[in-house]
Amino acid sequence: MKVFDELYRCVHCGFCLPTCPTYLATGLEGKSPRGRLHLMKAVVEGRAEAKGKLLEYLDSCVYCLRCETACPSGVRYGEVYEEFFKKYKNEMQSVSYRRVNLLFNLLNSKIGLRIAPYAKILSQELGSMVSGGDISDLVGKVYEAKGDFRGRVALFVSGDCVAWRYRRSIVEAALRVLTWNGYEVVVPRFACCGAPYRHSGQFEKAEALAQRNLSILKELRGVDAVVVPNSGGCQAELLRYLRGFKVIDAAQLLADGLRGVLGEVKIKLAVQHSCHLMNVAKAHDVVLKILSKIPGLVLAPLPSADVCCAGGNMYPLRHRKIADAVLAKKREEVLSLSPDGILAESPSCLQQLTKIGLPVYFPLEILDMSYARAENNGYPEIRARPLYG
Amino acid sequence: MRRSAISGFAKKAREFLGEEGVLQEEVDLLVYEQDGTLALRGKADVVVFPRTVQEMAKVVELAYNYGIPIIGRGSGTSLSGGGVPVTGGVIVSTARMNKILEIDLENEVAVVQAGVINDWINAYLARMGYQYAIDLGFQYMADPGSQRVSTIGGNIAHNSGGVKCFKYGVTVNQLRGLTIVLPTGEVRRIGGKEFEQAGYDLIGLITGSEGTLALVAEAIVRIVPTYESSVTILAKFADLPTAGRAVSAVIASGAMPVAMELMDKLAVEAVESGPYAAGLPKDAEAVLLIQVEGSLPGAKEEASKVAEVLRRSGASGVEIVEDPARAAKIWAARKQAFGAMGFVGPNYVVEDGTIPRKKLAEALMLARAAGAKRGLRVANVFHAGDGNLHPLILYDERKPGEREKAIEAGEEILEACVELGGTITGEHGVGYMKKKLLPKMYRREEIELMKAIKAVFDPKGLMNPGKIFP
Repeated sequence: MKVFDELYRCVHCGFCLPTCPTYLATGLEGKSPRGRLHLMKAVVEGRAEAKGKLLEYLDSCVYCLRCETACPSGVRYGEVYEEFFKKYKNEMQSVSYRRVNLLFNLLNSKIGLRIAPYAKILSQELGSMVSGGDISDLVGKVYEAKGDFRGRVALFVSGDCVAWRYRRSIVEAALRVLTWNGYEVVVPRFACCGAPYRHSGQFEKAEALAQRNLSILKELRGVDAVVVPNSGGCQAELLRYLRGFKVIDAAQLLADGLRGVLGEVKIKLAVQHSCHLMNVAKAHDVVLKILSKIPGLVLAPLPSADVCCAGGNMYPLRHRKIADAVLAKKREEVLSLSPDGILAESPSCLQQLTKIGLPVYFPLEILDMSYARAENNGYPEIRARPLYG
Repeated sequence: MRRSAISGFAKKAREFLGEEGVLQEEVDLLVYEQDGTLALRGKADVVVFPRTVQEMAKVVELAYNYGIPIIGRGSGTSLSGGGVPVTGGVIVSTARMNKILEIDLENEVAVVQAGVINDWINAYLARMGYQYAIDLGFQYMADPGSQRVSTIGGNIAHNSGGVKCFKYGVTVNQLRGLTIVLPTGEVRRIGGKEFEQAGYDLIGLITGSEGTLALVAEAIVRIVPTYESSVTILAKFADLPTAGRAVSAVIASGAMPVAMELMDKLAVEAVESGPYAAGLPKDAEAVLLIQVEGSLPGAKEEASKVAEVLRRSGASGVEIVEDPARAAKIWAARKQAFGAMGFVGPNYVVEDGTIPRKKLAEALMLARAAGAKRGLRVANVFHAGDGNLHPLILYDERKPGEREKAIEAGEEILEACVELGGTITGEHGVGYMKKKLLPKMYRREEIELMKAIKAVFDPKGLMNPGKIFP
């Protein structure tokens, strides 16, 4: 199998170790990318079996892919891991995914999404996912561009996904910021990007979602870009299958110039990068660069801003102990900076970062705040018409 | 007998290290069978994770009393098999002893646990500098290519060099004090924050002893104020010998570079294929990277002087890189070069011989020939300033016999180094891979003297057995 040839490209240099959240939290080789590659190789070569503790070690991966950007030999860890997952799907799912998939799938059903806000008492992680307003009435519409027309973009959000359904403030911020900057924003009824399903071994479901999103996009007949309102996770997934489309973060889209006046936002934010924004989309720098133009705003990256917070992929529900250890370190770093809040770049980070106890902001919310505080006539109003029918 | 000793040891070790501090399952031993040395594997019996000096002392004492071999391990990046348990035994991992204990700017030292990653010291110091923007900050100067991952404990065990050791010296030159754990579990503190120590140089003895005498638990390392500015010079050459001669010419000119590194075409190809690509010239047979430092005008003047010498020595292109961001990228590329061998190898055996600098060109051609003779390619990326070669003999473990041929070629290269008046290792240690060659370097009496010293520390011969001595 070709993907497994990648295993032989690992030269055991270990550069991935200090970038891996689970290695840093445990000090265990088996919970490092190098260790996991070594274990997968041993299975592929027939020196070990895919069972027991070996699976636990593999399952403890958050799938942040920081190891890929650290690897001097460019080993495509993610592809190897996924191929291995496909080949040993039952075994791999048996460790923790089978348990959380049930909950996750239920939550992302029609009824689940509706009752989710009431279910937040069930767990802290869930609470942070459903604490915003409902976006159902914002999708299925086209939002008019203001000023000189700059382009037509599709905004990737989904009312069928627990991560987006209750993120109203970010979606509204995206609509205001993008239309203000001259973009016509189409918001179709996208399905979930598929990432959580693919990462948890539900490959058919992920593929079906990808196909659905592709056909929705084709119906739009021409957009200049698919814009993700600050979700490294979705952006990374869309980049996989939206071939031929420009998939871009909303802040990244505005990198070549912001219109209007930026008002003062006098706060200091500790910055934790979204792993997939950084390691797959490679847009984390650009996003910060845009924000750095806002007067008064102080951005202070955590010393370990490039290391995953262990929030993605339902990780805190799957590996509580490691997630807590990672969080303890993040908390210590955040507090040492004495910021007013935390800047997150993807909803999946919320499951962890909200626990630190400081307000968490997204880049678009800060940008929106800045516009709203300056003399920008007509900024708050958005005009929409139905997209369908 | 071994088995009952191991289970007795493990049971007692769990009493103070906890369940998670003692690993014994097959899969754990599998994952710890290798370090950074691709051509070597060895299976331990148990892996333990002390968190403090006291825990390390207790677990070492326990193993020693049970007669179990003791192998220290940091991040597992040794290139000579230093961390591979070739005769089984207990791996003592320092992965959970990873705290920076103290930064003492007045005495210009940092106190760290053995499992602290080399580069963490600099990262920590950089953050301090940020608070006091007025001063230029401090740095820990021993900077092996692996510094982003290798630990201080492992650096001390191997007496690691690095890019800047041309000017600042190797690891042993950065040490003021050590806390070591003797095989009997006794803790000894040698040296301190002071500059000089009376009596025997025990720090010198422990440093580079590759875990065969004692385990390092903590270290007091020197930190040095950084210069105002540094400038990088990038030169390309149409052939290796000319590049080798240019190195000598630069040194003869009286210039005092911080670092002088040489990368050949294959090494450049590897690193330029991956995420650390820095725009190094891929068409050159050899690339020289040189860094000078000083005050802003001083560094600039030195750089142009060096550039002139390089041009006169036959460089086909010389570039002075003043942009610090680009320079940082170039040096990062150099430091990730071994790790990038997966693009061209994918596997490699790396040798580490040193030679008198004047013989650089000759040695490089010998290395290439030793590989070619066996149908193997040799990449070179090394510390040219101190004549410390790193020929990387490339092979593919999936092709039967290639691994053995690569090891053989490596040995031939090291023998040639000794004949040219050099040594078999500059900084990676003798470990397992080069122990066969030790008699090429020393007479029997000299090796006996070393063994006698070892016997004082480790009469049972349990500390990292199977290493250094043939």
